[in-house]
Amino acid sequence: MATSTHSHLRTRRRENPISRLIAANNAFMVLGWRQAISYPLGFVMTQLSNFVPIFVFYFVATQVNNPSQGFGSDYFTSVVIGLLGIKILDTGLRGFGLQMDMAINRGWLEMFLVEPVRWRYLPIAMSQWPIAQGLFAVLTTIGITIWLGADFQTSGIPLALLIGALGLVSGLAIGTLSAAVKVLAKSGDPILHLYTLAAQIFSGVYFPISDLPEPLRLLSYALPQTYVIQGLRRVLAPGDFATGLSTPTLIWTLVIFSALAYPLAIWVWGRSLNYGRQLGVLSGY
Amino acid sequence: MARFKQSGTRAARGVKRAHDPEKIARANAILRAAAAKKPKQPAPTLPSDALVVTDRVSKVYVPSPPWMKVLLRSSIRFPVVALEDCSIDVKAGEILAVVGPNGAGKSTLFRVLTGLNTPTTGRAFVCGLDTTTKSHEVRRLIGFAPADDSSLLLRNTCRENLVFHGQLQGMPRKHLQKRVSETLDFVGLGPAADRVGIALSTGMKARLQLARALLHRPRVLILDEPTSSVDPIAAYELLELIKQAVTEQGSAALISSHRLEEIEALHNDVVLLDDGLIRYRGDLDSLRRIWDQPRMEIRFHADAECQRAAKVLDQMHDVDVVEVDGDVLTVATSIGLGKIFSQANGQLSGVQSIQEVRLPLRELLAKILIERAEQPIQS
Repeated sequence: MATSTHSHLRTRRRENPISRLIAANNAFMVLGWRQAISYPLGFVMTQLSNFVPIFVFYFVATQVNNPSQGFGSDYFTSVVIGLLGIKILDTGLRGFGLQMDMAINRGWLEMFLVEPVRWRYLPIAMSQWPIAQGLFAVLTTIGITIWLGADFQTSGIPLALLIGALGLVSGLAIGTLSAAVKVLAKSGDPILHLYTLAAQIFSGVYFPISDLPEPLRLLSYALPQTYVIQGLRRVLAPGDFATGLSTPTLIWTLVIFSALAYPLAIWVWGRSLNYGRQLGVLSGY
Repeated sequence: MARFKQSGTRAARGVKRAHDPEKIARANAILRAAAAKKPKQPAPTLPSDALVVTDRVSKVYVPSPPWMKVLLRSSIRFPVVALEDCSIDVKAGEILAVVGPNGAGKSTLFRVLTGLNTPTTGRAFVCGLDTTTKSHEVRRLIGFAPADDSSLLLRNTCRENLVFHGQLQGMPRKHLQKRVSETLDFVGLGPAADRVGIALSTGMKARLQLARALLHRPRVLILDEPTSSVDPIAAYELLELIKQAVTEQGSAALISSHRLEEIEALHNDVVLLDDGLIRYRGDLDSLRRIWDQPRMEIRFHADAECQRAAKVLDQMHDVDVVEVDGDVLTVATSIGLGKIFSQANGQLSGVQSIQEVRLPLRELLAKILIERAEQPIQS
């Protein structure tokens, strides 16, 4: 602090970090909603696109209902659970990144960075709207698939909520790490693109990971998607799950991953912005 | 500081290929100074009434490190000096106009003050807070309007734009609604409060940008070319609003502009930046005294008399014939009119009228920049 005295600084209100975070969350939530409804047809089409895979796999299941070990006894339900797991993780993975893309493309990011919101709050605040949208898509997917005949185990719902929440935090962690690169690179999302491709193949959305060759199966266990999808299937899908990791192991792995990865991602995000300040790249997006 | 050493070395290699080795040498000198291990600098003693102070701030943009080039092609190959030893201070109630050509360092200076850039050497303070280490606190004290209006939420109404900004400022909800209405009224957007940004005229968007900068009653206003896209009348009104806000709120303002006649109308100090260096700091009258050689416009009865006088005056020391246009002769001179006529010894006949002319400000500044004094001049 410099030696000059500025009496007006002493008279300013003390900042309450929780209320500031809530205020920022609210602001970005409302902003997200307004932006979404600014393009009503686009908004509706985006929502509808979430449900296309459900119908695809409903009809696939009628042809392929051939239960595989570790995949439950009902192919349709298992694939739907896989899709739900992917949706939850994608919400975390892409939510902040997509909001960043929008802010960069529309010229808002520089302004957001000049606002007196702590930079480490931005990944949380800017994710509020995508999370709300993602949860809406998950809930409606569950509703539609039950109507189409998916056989969820209602007793597993509390654990499924826990696994879903952990999956969301894991996705947010990886998404924030990706955004930390994006804020310096200014556009493109190479890390997340590669990660999403890998996750689609190795996390067992469409087939059990036991079908993968042994070395690739190891890669599967490096992805939080695998734990989320396996965990959700174990608690929600009917059938025998004697093989694979136990439910507590899956949950604890996700707990440890989330507890370590999210704070790390927020820290990296902050460091990335500080590095951007030194390089002078936090403007001119 | 390994990064600076690496950049410096790479830059040193690049000197051989560079078009302007002098500029790269300047950049490397600043980078070396930044890399040199120094004991922790004590906080400088700031003028107690200055809200904005920069203390020998330099900023060098270095090429991206190799790992970043995988993600983004670097736009620069050699270190670039954007600011060098820039020292300014702005007191409460003052408006400082920052002028200079493109690439002079105006935006870099503003980014340092808003905390988006860190100085390579030197320090910057807003209300006594270091913009590098207290960036978050500094951002609460400034109102910033960037040069273009793309930072506005164009799908939202004027009111929604300000409410969003107020929420991020942490303003209490009840107070916020009242303050939003007050601010919109102040900038003349009260009747358009519920109109979406995209439906506003360019002048109204500029006013909305100003409203957003003023909403939380900042101690320091930083306005990057606030009048660049509006017509002269709208620009005049906008500057009047800025002057009024600065007076009423007792804040300090920094304004960059290319419209020099507007800067002149502000009747405040200017900083003339060029190539990252401060070429001049002071009021425009002093600038004229230093740089503006008085000019006389002499009108003759006939073109031939004008031509003859031009030949006579061209022979005199301390008199430059600037222009001959029909029967009007313009000369620049540092000696008095009486001396000119006495030295002409009766050879100036047919004079119809004589008047002193002032060099337009833009020409004066262009002259200063073109002549590029060896050392920065300060008033």
